[in-house]
Amino acid sequence: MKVVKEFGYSLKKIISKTIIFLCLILFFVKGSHSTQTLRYGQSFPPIRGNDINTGKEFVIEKGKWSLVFYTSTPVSENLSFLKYLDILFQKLKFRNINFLGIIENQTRFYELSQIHYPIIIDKNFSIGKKLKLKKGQIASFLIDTELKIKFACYFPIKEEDLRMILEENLFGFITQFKKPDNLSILNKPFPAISVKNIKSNNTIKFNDAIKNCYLIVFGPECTRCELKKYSKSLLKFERFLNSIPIVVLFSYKFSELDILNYLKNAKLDLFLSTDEIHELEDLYYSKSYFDHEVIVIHVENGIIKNIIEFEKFEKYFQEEF
Amino acid sequence: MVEFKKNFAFFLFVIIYSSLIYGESQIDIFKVQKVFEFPEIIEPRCVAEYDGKYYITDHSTHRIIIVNKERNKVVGYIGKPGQGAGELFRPTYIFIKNRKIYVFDYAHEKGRVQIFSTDGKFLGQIPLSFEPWMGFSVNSKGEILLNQPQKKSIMSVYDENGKFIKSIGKLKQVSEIYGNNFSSLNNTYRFAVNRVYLDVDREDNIYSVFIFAPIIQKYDSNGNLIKEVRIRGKEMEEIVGYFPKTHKPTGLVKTGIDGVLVYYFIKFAIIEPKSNTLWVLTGKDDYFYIYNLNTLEKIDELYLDYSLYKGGIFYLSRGDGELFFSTVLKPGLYKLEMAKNK
Repeated sequence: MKVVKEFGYSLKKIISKTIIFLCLILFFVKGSHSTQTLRYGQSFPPIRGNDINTGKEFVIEKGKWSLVFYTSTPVSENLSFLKYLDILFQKLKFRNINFLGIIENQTRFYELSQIHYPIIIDKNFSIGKKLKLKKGQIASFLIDTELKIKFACYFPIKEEDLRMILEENLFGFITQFKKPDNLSILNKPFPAISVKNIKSNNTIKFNDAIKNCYLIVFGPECTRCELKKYSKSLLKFERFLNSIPIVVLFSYKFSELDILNYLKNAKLDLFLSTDEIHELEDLYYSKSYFDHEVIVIHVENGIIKNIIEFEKFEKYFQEEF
Repeated sequence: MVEFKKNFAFFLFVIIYSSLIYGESQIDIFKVQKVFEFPEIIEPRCVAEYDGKYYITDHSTHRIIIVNKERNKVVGYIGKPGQGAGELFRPTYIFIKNRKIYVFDYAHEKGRVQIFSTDGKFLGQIPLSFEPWMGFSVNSKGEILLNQPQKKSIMSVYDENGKFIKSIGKLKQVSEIYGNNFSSLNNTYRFAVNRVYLDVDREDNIYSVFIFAPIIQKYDSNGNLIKEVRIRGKEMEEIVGYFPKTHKPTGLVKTGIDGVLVYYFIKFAIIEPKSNTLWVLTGKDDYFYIYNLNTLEKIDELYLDYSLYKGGIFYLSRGDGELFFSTVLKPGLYKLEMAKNK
């Protein structure tokens, strides 16, 4: 009887102590997790999922650097971020680095299908929770070969920022820092950029394929609204195509579907950049062209001869023809 | 008659002198000049000066760029992009005290203060638990002042090792500033209404200029409130009418802070080193109100013509004898100079 009583007492004691212990653990674990975000130097939690394009399972593993971008819905800005990462992925795919996009809600399937690195869907927000995100939040992470976080950011950042962080950590230097002179690209060969012909779906090197043209450039600062605004003017140029070669180039930030939506009947050649177009992008930040959303580059024998704003080009056409 | 002529001449002198100081010609008395147009500087934010060199924070390249004043040439960099010790991510405010550089950067969600030697050696960092937003300054002892209303005071003071020293300033309530009709907003705006710009003068007196309320406070170096004045002026009266959002503001910049949406009543505040006056940039049409540091009396107003610069003014900073402002949207760094004829 004594033994039973003692046993009963000690069992009660053990159970109550265990409950208190578990409560304490839960309190501290839950407490620290719910208030803190992931930070530099911490371990990245294990995450896995299936790539929506290949169906293959993706796991972040040791021995490789990883760049992870989380977004709730791939609306225009976030989508352009995912597309920019694809450009980086194409450049760095032989450099021992994983790229991963995680999306809470699957939309814009066509655009996502064009992305070459794994994209996984986090329908029940379980990965988001592990990464300490709030619903609707955007986050970027760079993880080293030991799964330690080298960069964690819970607000939208510029694509350029992520590239610089990545290059600095991987190579110890940054490929592009300086702001080029706005006139430095005049009389120089048109840059070797990869572009996709939206109608034929062929990807070409622009400088090899097209040597003479008036190139209408919708740069990274333009938006879908600009496209709508300019689409009528673009169609006006079509009747001069036999005498003057006019082609249109869109920054990778544009959605292919948006372009086709506004210009589906256009006879003009429409190219979407699948590359960074630094030299052209920087024109938008330089003094002369900053105020102009769309610019026209005159390319002759593969050399950049002149750059003018779209409005002047349009006026010139109206007066001359 | 001679006495009359003397008095008349003196009277005339007073009139002319007063009109020069307080006259309507404020628009013309300052020059605006774009500076530091180097390819290395892409998105400049703030400037500090030490030993013939300017130290400029750059938001785009995530580093401090050092420019030799005499040679007008970039001579070095401090930091590189990242979140590790000595790395920078979106650096903004910068102060140099006792040969040490104190820079605020947004490496983590709440930001941090990093300390470097003037030759670029990393000395330490203070990760913050509460974002000071626009309120960051350093006094002559190297103590760091941060606006952290979450810590139940206007500012918290830390030593350079990040050790908390003291709190300064009693938090205000919306009803205290805008009247009892707004008492229902006291809780919602409890942090936002206590957001301030901070600056420190040569005697370590502290100036706290509220961002969403027309108030300037002056504290002595021990943290005692010496004076508090209400910011008055045509522009300010109009702006205050926008609290919380009773009218649709024209030309004011909206921001989200501490869980509420507010319009900048004050876009920046800083001590101008040459005249030793406090410059308050209002949220409306880039009007500056200029205050005497001792009395906190408004002594002048200055309107900057939009055509003199591009973008929107957002950050003010100073060298040893110069005042700079940087612009956002169309990034640039400009120097404000007093014209010689003043």
